Amino acid sequence: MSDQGGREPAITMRGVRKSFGDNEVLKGIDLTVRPGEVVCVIGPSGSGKSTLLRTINLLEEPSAGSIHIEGVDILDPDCDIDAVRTRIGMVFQQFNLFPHLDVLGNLTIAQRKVLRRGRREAEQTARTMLDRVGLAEKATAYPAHLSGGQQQRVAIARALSMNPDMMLFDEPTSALDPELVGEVLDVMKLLVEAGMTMIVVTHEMGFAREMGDRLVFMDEGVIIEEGVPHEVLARPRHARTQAFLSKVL
Amino acid sequence: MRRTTRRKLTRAGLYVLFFALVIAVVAAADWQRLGEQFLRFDIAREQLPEIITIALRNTILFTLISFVGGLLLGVVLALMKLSSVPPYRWFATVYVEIFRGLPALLTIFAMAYMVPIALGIRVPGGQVGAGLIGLILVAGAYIAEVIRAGIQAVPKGQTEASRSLGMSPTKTMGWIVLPQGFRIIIPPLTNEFVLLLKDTSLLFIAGSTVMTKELTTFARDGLTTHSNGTPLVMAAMLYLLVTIPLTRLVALLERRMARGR
Repeated sequence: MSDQGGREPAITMRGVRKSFGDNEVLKGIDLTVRPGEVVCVIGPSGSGKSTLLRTINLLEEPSAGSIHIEGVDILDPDCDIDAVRTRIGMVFQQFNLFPHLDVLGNLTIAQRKVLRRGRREAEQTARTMLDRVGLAEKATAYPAHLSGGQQQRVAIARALSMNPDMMLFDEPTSALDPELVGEVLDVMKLLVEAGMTMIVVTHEMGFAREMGDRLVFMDEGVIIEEGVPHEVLARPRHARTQAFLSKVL
Repeated sequence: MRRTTRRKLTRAGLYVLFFALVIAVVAAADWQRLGEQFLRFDIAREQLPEIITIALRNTILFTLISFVGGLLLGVVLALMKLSSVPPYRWFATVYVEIFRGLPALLTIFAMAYMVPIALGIRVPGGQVGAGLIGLILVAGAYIAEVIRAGIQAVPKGQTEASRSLGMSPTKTMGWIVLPQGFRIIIPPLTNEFVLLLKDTSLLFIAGSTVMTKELTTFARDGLTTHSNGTPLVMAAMLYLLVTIPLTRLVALLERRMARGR
């Protein structure tokens, strides 16, 4: 809640609720993320972690509450959500690369159609980002010819190509074969070290402990507890956190 | 009797029945008269080259016009059917139900005579041109359903990824969803093309001039002039010359799609 250096919070959520029909998935979420902060969200499946993440860029519209991105009220009907979304990169569990475009096409399409960058500028940015994720040589490959780990790294590069202020990760390694998880986590660590603001929904407790500034445990649509990762993991205060951690650790 | 023995006997019986029927038909038919009525080379020569330069050309031209028109109309109707604005959905649904439910022949007939009266305009191509509008209206209804299915076959994650990059709904549809949807529907769309090619024969109801005859009309006129079926056989062969390679192409495309890219 305290602004670091007087800067505006990157994300402020107040009393956010979301229902699908009769099923209330989020039951009043309060969460503030400071610029440069890395927040990891853990919890059992169905606890609402993904929905929480997806409300932040309005892939899911909350039923109630308020969300501000860098001070902008994104639930205001006059808010240009597309402009806000260019500042929020998102990485999905299933990668969701565009199969009809090659890697460069995946990385340039939104730069060109949304940011109106010229081809050369867009491709230059794309190549810089590909280099960051270690896939410079795959620029002309199609997604179908890449491994899962490579696809996810391209997806990260695609999000970075928009030069976002923050990144949302929705279980980025859950669809990967175990031997491919490491390469994706390595790229994410580089982002953390570069000071990127990140919210990471994950089952990778090692990453959360090592790289997270804060760990949030969710269950049944509410935040049960949050704190410094190694403390939450080592000494969970709530019975539900204890029960969950005893199963996954 | 063992089961395998019984199966063998059944198969043998089916073979015998098949060839017996073929032989009966072959023996009963008057081959000489059939040849005179359907395969007269002098009449065949007389059909050339017009049956190709006019009739086949018009058939292909009309197919292309109605396919392109139907495709444009189909995209619009498909987008309307998937619209979040209810009246658009209602319109598209009613439209598709009507033009799929009516015989294409009736629609073409109605358009050929109604459009010039209703709008007081002269459609380029005269009555055949107006009949073509009817064919486009019908084609649009069928193609709309194919395109809608294609759009819906694109995984939701594609839309979400595109929207999360700040692409608007329109940009997402145009650059991400439609290009993938069209790839998915190339086989059924080619199928529609073949159906449309055959349906151009219905344009005979619109009445045609010498220069606007397509294959079926041309063959029918040949049949009347010569009191001989040879022009029909020629038209049939020309249709097959186009449709069989196309359907083979569809099969090939489908196999390639199944293998996945």
